[in-house]
Amino acid sequence: MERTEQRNQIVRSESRLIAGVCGGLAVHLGIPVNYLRIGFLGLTALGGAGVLLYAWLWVFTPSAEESKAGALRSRGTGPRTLAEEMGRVQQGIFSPREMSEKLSSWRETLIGAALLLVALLALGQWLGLNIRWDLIWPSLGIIAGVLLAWLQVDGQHLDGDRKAKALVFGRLILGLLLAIGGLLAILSGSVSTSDLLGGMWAALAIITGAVVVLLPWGARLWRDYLSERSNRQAAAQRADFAAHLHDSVLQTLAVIQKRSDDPAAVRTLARVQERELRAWLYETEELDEKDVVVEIQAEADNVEKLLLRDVDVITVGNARGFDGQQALVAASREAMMNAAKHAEGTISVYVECSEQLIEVFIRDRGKGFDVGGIDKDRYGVRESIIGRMQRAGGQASIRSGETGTEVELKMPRNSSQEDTES
Amino acid sequence: MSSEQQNFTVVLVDDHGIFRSGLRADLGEDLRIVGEAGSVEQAIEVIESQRPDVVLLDVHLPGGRGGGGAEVLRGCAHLLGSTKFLALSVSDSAQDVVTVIRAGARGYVTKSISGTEISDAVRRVAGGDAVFSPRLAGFVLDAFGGAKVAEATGIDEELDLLSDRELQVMRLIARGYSYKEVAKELFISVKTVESHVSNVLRKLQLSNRHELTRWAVDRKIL
Repeated sequence: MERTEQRNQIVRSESRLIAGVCGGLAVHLGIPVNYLRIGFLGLTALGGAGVLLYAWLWVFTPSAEESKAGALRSRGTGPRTLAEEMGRVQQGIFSPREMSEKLSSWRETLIGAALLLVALLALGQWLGLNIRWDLIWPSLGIIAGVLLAWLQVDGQHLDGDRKAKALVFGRLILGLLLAIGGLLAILSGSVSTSDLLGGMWAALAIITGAVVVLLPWGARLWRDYLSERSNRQAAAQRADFAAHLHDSVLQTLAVIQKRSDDPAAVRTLARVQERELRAWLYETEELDEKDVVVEIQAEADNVEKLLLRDVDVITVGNARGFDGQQALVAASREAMMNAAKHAEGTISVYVECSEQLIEVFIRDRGKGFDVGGIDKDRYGVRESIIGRMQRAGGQASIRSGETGTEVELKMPRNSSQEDTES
Repeated sequence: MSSEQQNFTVVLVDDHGIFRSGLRADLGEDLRIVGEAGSVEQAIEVIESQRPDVVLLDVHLPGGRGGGGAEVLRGCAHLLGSTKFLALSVSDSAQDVVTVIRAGARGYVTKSISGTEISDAVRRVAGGDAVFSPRLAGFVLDAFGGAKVAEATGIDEELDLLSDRELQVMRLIARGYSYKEVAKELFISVKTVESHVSNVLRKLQLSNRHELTRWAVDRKIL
């Protein structure tokens, strides 16, 4: 409950019964919150001073969210770590997670208190006290209206969607009507109807005048608010970029500096990073992640990262959901791993999806090996590439020569549940 | 290919000074650098005044109307007969490739390519041939290859279809084969491979094939 704010300013607490005044004050003064609540109730009993003080503090102290957002704005562009920046933005702007929960709990309390009050009054009347219901009902209306309107201020729904905005507005107007109605009802007891009507016209004239005079100011404040908000959004976006660059590019550059004696590793690191950054910046094409093309690309990325080798993947067409897809991807992975382990130079992978067939070619530039001699010592090749493909209804063949080895995988595309996309 | 050891003049267009100096050190001795530029306007000016054999053109360039390398190509369109353009980019992004090739570049290489490879590419382009990366070949196959041809209407046979041989060559290049390896694989001469590739490049530049257009529109190129 006592959320420590490292600040000397009174901030209305996030854990609140009504508006968090007591909670905030408790943190500020270092007194248990319940003592303060009892104190406020006592003051209220002494002629309502507690209510006034409460209302005064409510209006003039910022809520925790507001104050965080304010701190966020005022801290400007001083030097700080990017991770910190990212953290700040997230907690500052997107925090109201338990709000609704709290609202509903204290709402129940309020309703209970109101019912209790009515019951007490009824009891009083029953005991013979002269209770003026004609004043109490309007007062209750005024109080309810004021509460309803004020509570919307803390709701912070103004940033939400249109529906939430309309709800806030509706409540505001309802509150206004309740309060005005209550006041008029009280007044109608002492003032004649014709005077009341005349007064209303006068009040309307005054309000109209005030609105006309103040409208430009209001509009300007609104504009300022909007620009402030868009600034904040831009800052959040920038922080997002900064955080990403920090996590990816800066880290990679650090690793590159450490490994500067190993040119191959540096090259591959730079390449993996480039691919990742490019995907993050420009990724527009959204292929299904179950697509065979995407799966093979992912395997190639893994090989690049694991063994720090360059793997170039060229793809033509796409396909997914055919029977041998899993086997094809696994065999491709095995072939890429073999190439990365046993050969030098760039590994070229070419995937072509035609209407009947998926073909994958994995080529390296190693010294090659005797394909006839793989039976005994190259169990990996025989089992995990050739055997796997054959069991799944496909074919694998390996050609090896002085200029490199090429593994060719073919998988027919004749499944029943297949989705064709060409 | 370059056995005659002819000296070629080259202009480097790239906005990164570091990359330009690296490239200057990397290029073969027979390639003479006669000018450098770092923006669209500078590039057009230098190319106009120097009339080099080959321009190494960065795809992403500042200045001009924001069109980058393709804008330089359009600005120098009247020189395309004598000056050959070889496009360079930090990666094989389809968008970059197609934009510059359709604007008239004779080839496309990534900046991560080695010094000897890029020198070879420059010589090849200077000699009138095209330089295809595996990615570019993959794109050509994507746009021209797989789709059924029979039912298509209004297709210009000459421009919109690849011959079987051209398809074979493209597939091998996409698989990572060099021109020499392609020639060996198909039992043809390197010269024949080069002429196939040049033909494909021409078709890629001039074809209005439906798939090509759709492909480009999908990727917001046109």
